[in-house]
Amino acid sequence: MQKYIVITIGYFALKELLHRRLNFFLSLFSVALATGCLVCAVGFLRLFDVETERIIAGKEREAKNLADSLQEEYRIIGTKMGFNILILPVRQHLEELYAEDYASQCMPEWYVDTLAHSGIITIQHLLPMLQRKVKWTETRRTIILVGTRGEVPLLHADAKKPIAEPVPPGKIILGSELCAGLRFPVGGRVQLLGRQFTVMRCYDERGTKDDITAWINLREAQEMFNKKGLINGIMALECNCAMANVALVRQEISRVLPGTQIIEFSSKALTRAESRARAAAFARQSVDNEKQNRIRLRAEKERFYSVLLPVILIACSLWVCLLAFANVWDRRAEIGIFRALGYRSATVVTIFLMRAFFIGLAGACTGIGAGMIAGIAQGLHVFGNGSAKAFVDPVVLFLIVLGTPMLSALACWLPSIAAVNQDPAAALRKE
Amino acid sequence: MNVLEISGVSKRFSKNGRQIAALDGVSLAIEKGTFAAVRGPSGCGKSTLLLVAGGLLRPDAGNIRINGKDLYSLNAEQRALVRARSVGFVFQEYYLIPYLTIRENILSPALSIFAQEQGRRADELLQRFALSERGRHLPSELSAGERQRAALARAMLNRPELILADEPTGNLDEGNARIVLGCLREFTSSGGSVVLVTHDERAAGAADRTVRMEHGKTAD
Repeated sequence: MQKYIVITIGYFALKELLHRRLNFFLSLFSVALATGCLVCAVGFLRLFDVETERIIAGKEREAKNLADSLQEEYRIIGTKMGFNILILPVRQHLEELYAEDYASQCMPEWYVDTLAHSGIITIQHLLPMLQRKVKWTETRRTIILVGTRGEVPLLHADAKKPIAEPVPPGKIILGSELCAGLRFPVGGRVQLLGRQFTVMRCYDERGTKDDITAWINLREAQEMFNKKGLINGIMALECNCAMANVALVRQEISRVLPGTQIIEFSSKALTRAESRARAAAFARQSVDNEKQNRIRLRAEKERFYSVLLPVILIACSLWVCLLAFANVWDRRAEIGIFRALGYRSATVVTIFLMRAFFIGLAGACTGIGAGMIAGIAQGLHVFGNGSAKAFVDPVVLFLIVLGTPMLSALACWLPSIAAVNQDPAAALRKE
Repeated sequence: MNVLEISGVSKRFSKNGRQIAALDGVSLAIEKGTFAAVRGPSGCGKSTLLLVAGGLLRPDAGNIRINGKDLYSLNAEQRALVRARSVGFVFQEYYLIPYLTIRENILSPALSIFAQEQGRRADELLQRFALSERGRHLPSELSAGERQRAALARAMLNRPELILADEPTGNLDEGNARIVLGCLREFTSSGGSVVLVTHDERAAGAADRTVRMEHGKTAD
């Protein structure tokens, strides 16, 4: 029975809407305007969010590239700064090392091969050496003589450009002070502790003890010092990675080579860490700045919509309400005849509310359609064909379709009550 | 048995600060199967009497009884139900609902008594009032006579016991007036009662009984 009444009243309401088209279209326009604005506001915020995600992702990519390139630059700079880890025999007293500038204790040369094969990740550029502070009798100078075979490649890691180059047998590389002071030309012959060497290269001034250091082949140094198969240190470079720190380096090396101890040249390590941190912070800051900017822009948009939307909703509701009053006024005689036919108050109210419901439904659909066209058109140049997906939130659309007819009915509540309270006799009486 | 009893009914209106007595102690009883005509000049209170009798306008004094039930002792919703079941209205201006077809107009009173199966009854009335060809038309597409016949058919849908007709022939030519009066007459023959308000002598001539009204008072 209820279904019959609702269908009949709904049918009456639809026919009345089509009959009084001007009132209907004005009401429809009003509801569609409010709904369209709502759809656009929600959609534009969604587009903005998607655009923000896109921009931030781009910025993060840019920042990562920048950070990578900065880190690479810092890494190169750091690498140029030289080794910052020294692996020594465990028996070596450090006070003696610092006093004499070299380690008196030795360890087997194969330690470096063991380390290179161990899969260690916290250090790179392994350089085994045997060094002594010696009196260069031929020149009457005290120098540091270093025998090295060049860097031992880590088997598990990509090959890297060596910091220290190998010295072939019979060759010698001299620090700047030795080159300059003794006037040895590159390619010239020098005698060192009774052996002949050809000057392979002169290093530029470094401002360290390297300037009074001479590098020769490890085998020759071992023979000269009678330390065959022995070395007294392995220089290394702490990896340029976030997780690397001296404690971890010590832990890793101790696991592979229990008979060793590790020294970190802290100023170099600190510089590298700071460089790395600065590069990362710079990249992070750039992304954070963009995020803050987008958050600020979104808040501005939200504030704008939070003012605009209520104004539009209230204005449109009032307009719909006024049009509903006009409709009641137009239909005074009809309401009178409804009452004369014995329609109850609830039936009359339902006729008017049903009318408002249909206006709300049609207005919501029209507004959603118009809002989506506007939003998608706006989003097309930003998102291309994906703009529809970015713009539309099905849940919001569903709530609008559901809520608008209710709001429309609410706006027409007073006019509907006015219709019921209207005196039928006043409309039907002629006298 | 009286279908309608009007006892000492008065109704006053205020116009430009003056009190006008539209009805002044009117009493009238309409028996079942009676066709009564209320005659009088314009402004004598005929239409007001009809609205009061139909429960649409509360009188200042007096009682209205339909089938013995005091109409104004009921609330508005109960009065609406009495109208829906027992009373049919016909007006000079027809008051057909402009956006419904003639058949839908005739069916519209069914909504007041929640009757679903009135389609056959509506078709029967369309045929009886010679409107079968006009069922799908809107009121604006019909002649005055057809509209009034449609209004009369609508008033009869719920098989009321009483029809209150306010100048139903006022806008009609002689032929259509005769048809409408014939239909009312037929209605009374089948046991219904009619109160016809008119100033048309021909219309009054079709009635069993004529009541004259002047200055809000009746005189048989």
